[in-house]
Amino acid sequence: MNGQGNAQRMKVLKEVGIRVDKLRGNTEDLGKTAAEGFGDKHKSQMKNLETIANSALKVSDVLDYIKRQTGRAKPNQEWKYQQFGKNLLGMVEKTLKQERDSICGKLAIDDDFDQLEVYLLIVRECVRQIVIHFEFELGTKETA
Amino acid sequence: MTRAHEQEIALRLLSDGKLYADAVAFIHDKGTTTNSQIAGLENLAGAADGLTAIIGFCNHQADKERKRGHDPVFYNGLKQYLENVRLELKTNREFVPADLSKRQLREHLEAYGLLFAREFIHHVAAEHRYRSEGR
Repeated sequence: MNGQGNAQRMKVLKEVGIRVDKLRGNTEDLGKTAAEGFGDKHKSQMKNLETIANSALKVSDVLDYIKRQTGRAKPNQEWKYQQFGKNLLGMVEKTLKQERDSICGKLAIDDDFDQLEVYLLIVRECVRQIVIHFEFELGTKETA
Repeated sequence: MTRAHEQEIALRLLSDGKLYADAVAFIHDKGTTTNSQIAGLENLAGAADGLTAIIGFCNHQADKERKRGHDPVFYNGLKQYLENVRLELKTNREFVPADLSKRQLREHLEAYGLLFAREFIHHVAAEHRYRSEGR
């Protein structure tokens, strides 16, 4: 983290991995919903989400993107399919924030910017997992 | 860490915290407007050379609304918010040093106020899109 060296960063990455692994049920459900809502035709939407998450400097960049895409979608399609966008938004705003607080508490990270970096790492890992489940579901559909 | 880098980090934290929460509350309190109005506001904020230009735009839009017989709740609220941003910025030492001349102070308030306003308007636009779904 910011000036705290590689050892601390490794601890953070390990914690992020463990926490997101525990959210597997949620990420799998979201990936499945996305596969049904977007299908192969609109799979670029999920790739775009991953790109935004990976390049974001603030968590609100990701939240704003989800809101815009969800707002634009037609009723019960794509981002609105089975409330995919709303549920993803809720996950980032609530569940992942709680995970950030928990990790920062455990590793005694009290600097605001370091906390933001931890939050971004969790969001990126979580989105990555959702996209993996999404692609797996699409692949399974194709071979079925 | 340079001062510019410190300011960049402070702006990111402010955007993720106060400005984001304020934008959500703003749409909740003031309601939504049309998507084309929001797109115009975002374009203006992106092209403006200072905070005053955005406040001027809010005044202009509020006048237009009034002439149409509508209560300009959205633009009056936005104008009020941005004026508060300018007021609070005056004493924010992360962005505005204490020992500035009148002219320097005005330049700082215009420049940093614009950055704050762009972040806020970006969040407002996203929340607006989200809340006005189906319209």
